[in-house]
Amino acid sequence: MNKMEINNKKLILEFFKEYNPTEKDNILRIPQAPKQFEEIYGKKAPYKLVFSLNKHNTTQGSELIAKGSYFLSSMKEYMEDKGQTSLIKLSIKTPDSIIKSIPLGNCLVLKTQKNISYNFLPEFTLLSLSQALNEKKQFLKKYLINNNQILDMDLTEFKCSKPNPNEIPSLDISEQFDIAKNNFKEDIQENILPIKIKLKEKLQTELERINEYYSNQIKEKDEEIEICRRKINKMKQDLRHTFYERDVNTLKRNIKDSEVRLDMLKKKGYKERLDEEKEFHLRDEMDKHALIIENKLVNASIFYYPIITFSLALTQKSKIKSSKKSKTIEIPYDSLFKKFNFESLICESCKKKNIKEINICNEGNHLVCKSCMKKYK
Amino acid sequence: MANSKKTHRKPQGPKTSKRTRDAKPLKTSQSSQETQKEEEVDYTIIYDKNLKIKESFSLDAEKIIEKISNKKFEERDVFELRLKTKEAAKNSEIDELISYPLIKKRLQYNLPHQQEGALRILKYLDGRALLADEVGLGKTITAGMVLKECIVRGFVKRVLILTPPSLVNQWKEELSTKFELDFKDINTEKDWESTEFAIASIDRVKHFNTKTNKFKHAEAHEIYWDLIIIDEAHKLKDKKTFRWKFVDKLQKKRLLLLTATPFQNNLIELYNLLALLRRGHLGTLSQFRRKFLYKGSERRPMNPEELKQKLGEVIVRRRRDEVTGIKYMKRVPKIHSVELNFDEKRIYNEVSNLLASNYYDFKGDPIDTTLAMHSILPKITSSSRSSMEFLESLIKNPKYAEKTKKMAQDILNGFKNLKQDTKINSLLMIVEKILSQDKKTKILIYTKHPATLKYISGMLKKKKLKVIEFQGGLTPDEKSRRIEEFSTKGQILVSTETGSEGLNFQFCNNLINYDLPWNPMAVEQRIGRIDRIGQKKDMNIYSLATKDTMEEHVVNLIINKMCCIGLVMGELPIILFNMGLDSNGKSGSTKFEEKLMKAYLYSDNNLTRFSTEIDRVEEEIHKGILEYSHTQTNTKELFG
Repeated sequence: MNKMEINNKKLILEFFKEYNPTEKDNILRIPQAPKQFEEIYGKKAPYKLVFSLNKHNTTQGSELIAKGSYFLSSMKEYMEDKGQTSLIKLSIKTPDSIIKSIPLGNCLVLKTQKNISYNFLPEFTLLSLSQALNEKKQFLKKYLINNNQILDMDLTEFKCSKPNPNEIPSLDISEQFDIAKNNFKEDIQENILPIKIKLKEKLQTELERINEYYSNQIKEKDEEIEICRRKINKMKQDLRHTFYERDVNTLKRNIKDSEVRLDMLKKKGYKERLDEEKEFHLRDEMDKHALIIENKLVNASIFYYPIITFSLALTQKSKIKSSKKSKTIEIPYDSLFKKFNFESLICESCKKKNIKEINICNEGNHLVCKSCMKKYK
Repeated sequence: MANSKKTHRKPQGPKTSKRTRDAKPLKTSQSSQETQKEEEVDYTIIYDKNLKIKESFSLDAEKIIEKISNKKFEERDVFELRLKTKEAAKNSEIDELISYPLIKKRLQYNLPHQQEGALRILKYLDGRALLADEVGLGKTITAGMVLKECIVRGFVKRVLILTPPSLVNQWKEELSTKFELDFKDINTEKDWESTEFAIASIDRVKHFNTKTNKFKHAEAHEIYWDLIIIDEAHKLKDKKTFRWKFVDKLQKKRLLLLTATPFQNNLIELYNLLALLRRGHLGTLSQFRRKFLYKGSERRPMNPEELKQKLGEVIVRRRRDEVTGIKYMKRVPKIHSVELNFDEKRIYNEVSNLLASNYYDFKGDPIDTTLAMHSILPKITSSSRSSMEFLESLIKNPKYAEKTKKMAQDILNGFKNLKQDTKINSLLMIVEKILSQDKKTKILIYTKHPATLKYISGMLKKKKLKVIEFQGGLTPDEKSRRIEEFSTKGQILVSTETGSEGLNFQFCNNLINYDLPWNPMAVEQRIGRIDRIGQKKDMNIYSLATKDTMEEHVVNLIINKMCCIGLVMGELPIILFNMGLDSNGKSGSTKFEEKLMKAYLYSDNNLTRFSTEIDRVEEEIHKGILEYSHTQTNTKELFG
């Protein structure tokens, strides 16, 4: 079996795993199937499936599963409205020793406490199906959003633990969805560009054929009118030089007939009629070559993982034995991005945010930045 | 990139609504975009250098986001499995017919040329083609494959099939039994709007009202059809006909024209046919004339190779001799003349006399038998049993005059006193003879009437033969059971037409027409049950005809001059269609039957006069057959 055949077999085994599939002589037997699947496929289980053409030829009553097989399409259709939302809890372990990486200046930790909360990352899987003439193209992309930005990160690498919906609040992810949707629309454009180029070329040829046909039609009609006109003029000239009554009558009759014909040609509004017809056929070709893009949100998932907030009781290194005072600060640690968030640490002297080194003033109860500490000294 | 401006008309209603054409000027170069919301999707239409791009976004997204806020989650594995199935089922290009596994069991035979044809039409001809395979190669199946594939791949939602009147039911039946597709007949103008899979007789819908200057079925032109199939499309050879104009006005993405004889006498006809498929493909008519026609001759092309090449871009044509897997067996006509005895003959004449001159209503006025004849004549020519059934119902019916009833009663008594039934004895003799030659052979007996069926079946059972009855009203399971029984242990199947449509009995090569419908199409249908791909032997077509009666002449005409003259299955309907004899006349029967009935009434029970009339019909049919054969020769000359 080649790689595709192996993959197809693996997929079918996974799909029907609850229905006890068995394999014998390279034939996969599915004794039962979900009712909804049977309805879609149009045939009730049991199914006898083979995965290579040679085997199929020798196995009566078996169904060949190959590229584009209807069995696979039916599986796809069966799954269509399933798995639309999911909740995934990332299991990330953070050792307590991580606090050693906190840049402490003149102080040290007397006591540590930790609280766990969660951060949520929505992920959107979007699908685009482009159809032109008799071909379809599928484009699927996932967008993970963090802080209203697309995050280029694969969370499937992380271990997961059993999610608990009670651990998360009710989330409104509409804003993040709009971001994903807008990005997807841009990505589609890039994806369909080759189809557009091919279609345009094909359409152009068809439109040129129709335009040429109708411009020639009009030209031919114009010529016909001109020929008719010239013929009348010629007959009128001949009439002046004709003396025999019989010939005069014939010419007069011919002139009259030609004039009637000329009137008919002009009166019919042939140009308008042909233009209308041309427009109809041009549109027909445009509709035929139309590119139809159907987009949909296939799945929205929420990934969540712990944010550990360390509560640290700090004191100056030099006063560790004498002072009873300590300063308690809280520093959240993002276990996914593996970094502390110092944004909430504000120097109580200069009010500077996001201080890079933690220092405690001489009185022992103020958090100060490195430069303010120098001033104190 | 220059975009062009357009105004967009909102599609009317959800899924089943008709799609209207977007009014968009082609020559401007500004960009345009308009957003619309339908029930389930929000979409935009953009024109990029005439390329129409319709982009939609399913509104399902809102529901999914709401599910999240309501904390309704599913297993992630389910989603992963869904993605995997999406990937596995992905099939962007048409390299094979993915719908084939669905239909192959119903088709019974795998004829590769049919799949190849369908693939070619979809992949290389973008679904716009003239399928011109010779008769007998299964154009209907190939077209059905194109249709099914488009449906399975999600390309088509609205389909229209236009066929000759006599083939509407046959198409419906084939699509239902072989492709599991249910098509709905278009009877009135109102049917168009609500019908997604529509089938109509082209003769019914082509009517043009000269007072309103509109087609009666103009609604069809308002719909954008994803696929249109037109059977026996050679009838669209004349650009000036309403038939041609009706088809030309249909908005269609894919068009499939089916005909075995795209070229009849005149290359202009072929030009007109192709104008429906691709306007201007062969240039303007003057250009076509200059390039391909000799002056004064419209039959032989001037540059045949170049024309063939151009035609190859839109035509798919295969000949029977280049296709493998099909064996055509002969139909051997065997007419058995039934010579009635004196009493039977007297009764037969009395029945004819009753209808011709003693048929009065309760007021004593003569009843016009013209219309009644269509239902009565088949009964009295079927069997003594069905004649008696007819007479009994006449006697009980108060609408007839006492005088007529009395005469009917006398004839009925005559029937009851008959010592023998020569026709049924003849049947028993034929059956005996067939079985004496081959004990294992199977026999299919057809009759028009359930009463006759019961009668035949009873008589055969008395002879200890394994007989199976088959008629209308059987459940599908019962039908299958009886077919299975016939194909295994049964010897004889006695059947009426109703109920056996579309069934395959190619394992049987003996057919007996106990009585014969006066409609050759119905006879073709009977023979068609055994004359199918897979028939391995020549077929014996037995027909019982009562000597020195009109029936003898009709049987001779239909069997010897029409159904068993070496035509391939499917050719006779084309001939009758070409002659305009397959559509229904005022009586509700086909125009061909009306011709025979007219001859019967005109003859006034005079057999010589009737036979002269039948000769005339025969001559007409012969002319039609010759014309058809001439057309075939011309087509072969052009296409090789």
